[in-house]
Amino acid sequence: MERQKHIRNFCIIAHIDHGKSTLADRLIERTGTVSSRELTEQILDSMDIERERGITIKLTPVRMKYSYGGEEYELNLIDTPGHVDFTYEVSRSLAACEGAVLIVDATQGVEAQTLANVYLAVDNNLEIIPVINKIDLPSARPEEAKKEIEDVIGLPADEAPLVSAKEGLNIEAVLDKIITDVPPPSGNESAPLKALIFDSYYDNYKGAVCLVRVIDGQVKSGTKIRMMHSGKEFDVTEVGIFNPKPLEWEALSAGDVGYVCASIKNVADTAPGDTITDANNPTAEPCPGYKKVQPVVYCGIYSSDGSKYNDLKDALEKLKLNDAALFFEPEVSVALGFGFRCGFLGLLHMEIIQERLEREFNLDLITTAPGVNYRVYKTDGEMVTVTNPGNLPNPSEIDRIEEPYVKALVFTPPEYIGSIMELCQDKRGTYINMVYLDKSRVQLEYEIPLNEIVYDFFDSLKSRTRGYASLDYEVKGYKPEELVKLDVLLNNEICDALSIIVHRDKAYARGRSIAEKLKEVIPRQLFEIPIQASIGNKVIARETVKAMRKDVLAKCYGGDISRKKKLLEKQKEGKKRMRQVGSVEVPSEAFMSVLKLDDK
Amino acid sequence: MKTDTAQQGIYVHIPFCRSRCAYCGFVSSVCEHSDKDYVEALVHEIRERVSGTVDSVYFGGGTPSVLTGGLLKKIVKALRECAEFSADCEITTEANPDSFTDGFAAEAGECGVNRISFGMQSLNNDILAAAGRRHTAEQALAAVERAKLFGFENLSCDLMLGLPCSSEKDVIASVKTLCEQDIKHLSVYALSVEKGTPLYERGYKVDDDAAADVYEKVCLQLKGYGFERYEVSNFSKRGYECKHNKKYWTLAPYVGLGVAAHSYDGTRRSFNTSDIAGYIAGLRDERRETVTASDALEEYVMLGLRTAEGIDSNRASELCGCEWEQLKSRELNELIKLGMLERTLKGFKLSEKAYYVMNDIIVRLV
Repeated sequence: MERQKHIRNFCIIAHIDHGKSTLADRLIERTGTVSSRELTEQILDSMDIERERGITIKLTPVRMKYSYGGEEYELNLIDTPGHVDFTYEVSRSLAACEGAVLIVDATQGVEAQTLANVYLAVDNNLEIIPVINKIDLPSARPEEAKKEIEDVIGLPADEAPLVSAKEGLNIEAVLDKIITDVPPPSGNESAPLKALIFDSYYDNYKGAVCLVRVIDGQVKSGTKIRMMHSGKEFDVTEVGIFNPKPLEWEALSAGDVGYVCASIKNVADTAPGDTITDANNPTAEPCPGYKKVQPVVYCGIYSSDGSKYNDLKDALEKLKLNDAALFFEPEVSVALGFGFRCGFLGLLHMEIIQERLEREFNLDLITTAPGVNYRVYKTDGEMVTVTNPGNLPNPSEIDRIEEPYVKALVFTPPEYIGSIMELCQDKRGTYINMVYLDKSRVQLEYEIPLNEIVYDFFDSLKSRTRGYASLDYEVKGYKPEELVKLDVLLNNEICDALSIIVHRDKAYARGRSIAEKLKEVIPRQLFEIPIQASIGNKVIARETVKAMRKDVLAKCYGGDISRKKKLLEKQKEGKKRMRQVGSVEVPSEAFMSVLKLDDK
Repeated sequence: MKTDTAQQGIYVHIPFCRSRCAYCGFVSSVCEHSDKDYVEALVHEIRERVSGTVDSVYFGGGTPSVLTGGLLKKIVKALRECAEFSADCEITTEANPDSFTDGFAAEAGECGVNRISFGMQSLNNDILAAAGRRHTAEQALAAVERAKLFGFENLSCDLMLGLPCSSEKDVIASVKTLCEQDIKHLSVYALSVEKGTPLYERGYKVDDDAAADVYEKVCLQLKGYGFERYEVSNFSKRGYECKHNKKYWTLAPYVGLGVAAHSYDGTRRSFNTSDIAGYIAGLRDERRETVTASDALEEYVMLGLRTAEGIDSNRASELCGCEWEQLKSRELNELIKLGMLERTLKGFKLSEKAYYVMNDIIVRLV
């Protein structure tokens, strides 16, 4: 118990861009954990994409030493992803801590995502330390930010340190607060082992590495462990801490944060939220709050060069090693050939995976419109789940279709309320509640079908509010709706990769805008191409790509055949990037272009 | 390297122009003082490379009609010294109406030139001015008159579709006027705006649909005047097809002389340097490429489909070393079904409506 008094486990909660990574860097720097020579900006964001986008996806814990009142303390910082897709991961990280530093931007105040994570932290009984950041900016309004924290979140904020992470101002005040305000861990070192997995990653040499917070007992090399939810057992080969690089340690005891390796081949066996215990001396109860992570958003992913199917498969398998939340299974499209139906935690997760496939594995992808998981009740009583519109049963066999809906929280300055309400209405939202957080901010609560959120809700929200509104949502359940399958026919043949499931009232507008968009991107060909959008046999929109009139090379100047040949080669290359859908050549971009339609 | 293939064609490139046209991306120079040195270098190259029998000579440019004062004569003399000209040898020179002077006409006649190809592009003065041409419509017609006066009977004119300010009406009127002058051959090219040309810099874009409309009208009009289309852009009275150009489309060998000229000896293509000063100083081949069997097949299909005759399946099979029709049966059938290809006794040719969209068809067949 004596040892645990000098341990503080905490995380940082912040909205994107409010300076979480920068503050983390300053804490690491100020505690001398990394010499300033080694210090690169934003140490904890280890992936390129994270650095480029300035967001944190993957959690990397770090142990720091700090002296206060003549005594040395061990501070474990557990970084959290700041995006709605990863709410469950955030909740597991929070469960590993006793306290949370809440960063509020002195120029912007509290945002929806911040509030959602603060509630998660409160649910996990964390001590919350508000910190006002970016006080160096001329537009900083620290007093208003403090008032907002008190009014909106209900936390006393008069003692909140005013800092500038960027300039390194007042960082010690934050460290001091962590020591004085965050309670030390209070586990029982001599009780049976109980450790919470809050994340894991795959290492080529060590296998799946569990990031853990030990609640009770002790774990060290040689311990036979059991994952309490999966029931699988392993022998520990190594334990260690993060400094911030992994450093082997003799043992991890109650209160410690570190890693455990046990020759685990699959990250699926190290699910966040699972509890590690001693197989020979198990603890009675696992840590609470474990959930099996389910994909929320689905799309088809194909290699634009059909012959690269195996490369795509390898790449997905490699990403899956490190990302248990990624789901994929093979599927076949008439238009696109062999590919995969992939499931993601949300839109950002989907974008990240697509970007990593293209960037790290050098693949050119065609992705189909993102969709959700529908529950289709058939007339014979059977229920099937459908993520690919192509698999929707025949309409005559369908009794009803249910779609997932979310509770959506939008934070906005009041001048945009009208516009946002109009948007939510348009997206089939049901108004639940509206609260004035203070005179400059309003919280709107709606229930909206997830289908509409994944379509273009977020982009529309940002453009209608000039970026001022923020959004948080969580899936609440399923509701029956009037949903139909909208097909697209090119030259009278259905192009399966373009089919979508859409609400009946929206079908006409969507069909028309898809047909218009396709007309723009499909080049003219030897014959006229009708583009039709239809529901069943009923055509609801039609456009035509006129036949090509002129595609001929000018004269052979002085017998310059090779120049002509080069021009034809170029044309041939262009053709390779096309997908043959029936008799029509469709450029890869066409499949993507229908995903993002203008908000008209 | 001497070439001895029977009945070869000779192309002589004259890179000089008095000014540059707005659509031109070709290797040419507007400076005039190095004519003599250039011809000197040409004579050198002729002595190195020309031998055997020649049945077509073509002076292209640039503007060959700037060669005066015995320069053209000097080139032809060197050619005749090195090669034997067949009795029916076609000797063509391109000419610009403004530089086709009495002096040049007389010299060309003395050299045995028997075909003149005038670069007219249009007979509308506004269009000519916009295209940066130096001549007027009146000068163009005067040049045709002058050629006839000097005894040239095999006359060809070039017209261009899609020039700035041009309309269907202008083109039809130009064609009519030229046909009434009893010219024997007409080339009708579609303007393509290439990078680096003044038109490209100006951001000019051709309206392809309009150009295609005009092309179709001109095809009909020329048919009425008794012209046959023997290649996508070339129309002639019977017996007046350009022998030299046909060599390009049938993969016959030819020797290209002068700066930036191309040669083909039946197995290999070579390319002269495009640096005029370098050429004068003695630089020759810039690069060569061997035409592989698959290249030859590709070229045969690409060029053969441009002609009225079309392609011969037997020759295609020879080039690909297998039954070509079988190899491409899916594509061939599809194109026939689309009405783009027609069967001939020996193989295939493009249908009327396919001529102006042939690139897409060629790409499917190679």
